[in-house]
Amino acid sequence: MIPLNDTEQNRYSFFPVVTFLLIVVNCFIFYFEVFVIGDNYWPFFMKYAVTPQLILSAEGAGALSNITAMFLHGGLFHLLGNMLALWVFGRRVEDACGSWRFLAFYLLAGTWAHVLFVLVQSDSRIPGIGASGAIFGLMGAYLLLYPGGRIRTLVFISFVPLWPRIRAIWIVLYFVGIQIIPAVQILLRKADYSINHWAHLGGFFSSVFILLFLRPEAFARYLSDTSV
Amino acid sequence: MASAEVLQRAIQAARAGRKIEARDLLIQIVETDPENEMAWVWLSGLVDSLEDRIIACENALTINPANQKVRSYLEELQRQQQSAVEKRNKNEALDLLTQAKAHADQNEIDIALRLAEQASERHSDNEEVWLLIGKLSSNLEQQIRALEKACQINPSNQETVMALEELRYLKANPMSVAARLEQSGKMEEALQAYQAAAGKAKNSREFDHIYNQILRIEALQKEKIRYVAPSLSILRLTFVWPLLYFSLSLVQMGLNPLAHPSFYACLGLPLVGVGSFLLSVAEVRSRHLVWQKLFGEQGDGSQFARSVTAAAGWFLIIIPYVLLLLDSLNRLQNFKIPAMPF
Repeated sequence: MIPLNDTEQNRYSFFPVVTFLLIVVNCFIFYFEVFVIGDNYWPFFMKYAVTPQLILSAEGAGALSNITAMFLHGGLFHLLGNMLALWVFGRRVEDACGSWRFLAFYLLAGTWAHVLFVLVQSDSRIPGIGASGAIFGLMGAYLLLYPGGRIRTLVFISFVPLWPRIRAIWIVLYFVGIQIIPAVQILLRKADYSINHWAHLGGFFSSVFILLFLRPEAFARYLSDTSV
Repeated sequence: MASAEVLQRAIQAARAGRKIEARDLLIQIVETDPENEMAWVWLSGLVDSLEDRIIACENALTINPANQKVRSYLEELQRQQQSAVEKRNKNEALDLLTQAKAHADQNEIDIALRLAEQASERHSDNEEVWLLIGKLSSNLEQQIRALEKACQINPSNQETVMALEELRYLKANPMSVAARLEQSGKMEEALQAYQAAAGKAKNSREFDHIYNQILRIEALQKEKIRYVAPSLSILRLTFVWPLLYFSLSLVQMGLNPLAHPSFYACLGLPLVGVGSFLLSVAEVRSRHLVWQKLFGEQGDGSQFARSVTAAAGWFLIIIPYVLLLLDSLNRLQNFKIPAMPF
């Protein structure tokens, strides 16, 4: 299941500037990771990714690494998946918030994703990277703001590609649902996963803050039980 | 009996303190001889009511306009009468004011306004009555007139002076009236105000702008969008940047501020709070103390005031974030990279 696009129009703004810039910056940094850092990635990640032990001992870049980690990716598919989701769920959330507040919300969701990751896997020395914590925050926000929203989604049924418009709730529930079992295993059995499931859940839960970030008009519409 | 003789008897009776007898005799005289000046003069001192005394004096003066003593007595009586009327009107006005306030408390604005207007007709020097009219009336002209009267009565009331200035500002800026009504959730009245402002538009560009506002309000009404007070929006938006700053500071302090306290993080939060507040005030269209106190403006903040406030807000927000970044970079410089665990 690959979400492709939100087919609804923006209400308040013409173009999601920050969403677009975030995608550009993420791509640029990935280019830098691959072609400039190359194999010497360990010191780079130690400095600019979120490592629970370092965060808890207040070593390293602290708040700065918390931000930079959101712009680092471990591979091309990691980047593409995240950027596609950022475009799909970020565009209309940015429209409802306004550009600056959207950026603040994105960083907040990413930060709380890292906070939960650090708290749950406090003894880990493996650096956490990726925009997915922040993007899960956007997914939660999208669900709160546009519960009836539909997403054009690529699905394969017996290798046959189809792209129906699926209700956002099913897509979000699917992506959040697949985090739960690994997250419980990490918590109870200290299982080792390459995917940062607790950061995803942390980002998702931080989406409740979205109501603080909405434009006044969008907030009034939210309270009126009408489309934001 | 001759009237002169009766007059003498009446004067004697009056001097002896037999007022009723004297008055009856004098009335008898003026009925038969209405031109008897002395009878009217004596009668003016013996009748009970103020009005009758005045009539007696006026009759005496009609017969002899040169009688200065009676004239000055009449003036005194007229002053007394005026004072009595004023006192009565004042009491009636106070009664009406009390009733008007009671109706206003029960949100019966029309009745309260009518009673306050009646009170102002009875006693036009009551500041409280004019203030109440200014408060209750939805007519801008009437509000201005009422506060002008209140200011005339008590020019030292700064609150009234400021309110009057604001109303004059609204009169000069019809769009502000509509915006103000919209901000207070009175959408129907705001729509009427916009329509009135459209009628006074100076050019087609201004008309188009007003027309767009009308369309916007009609759309909000059609979709039944709830009214959210500007103060709530300002409060809500004020949390945005401090919340992010708090979260980043928490990470900077190793999620344990007691074990790893950070000077910048603690100092920065109130600054970011103030900055975020200013930014919210600049964004949310509303009448605010910031405009009055900092810029001496009556309306919703001019473009200049908003821009300056927003710039000040951004400045206060950015400084702590930059300090936090510098703190992070400083820590990064002293950071020894651990070996790979795998």
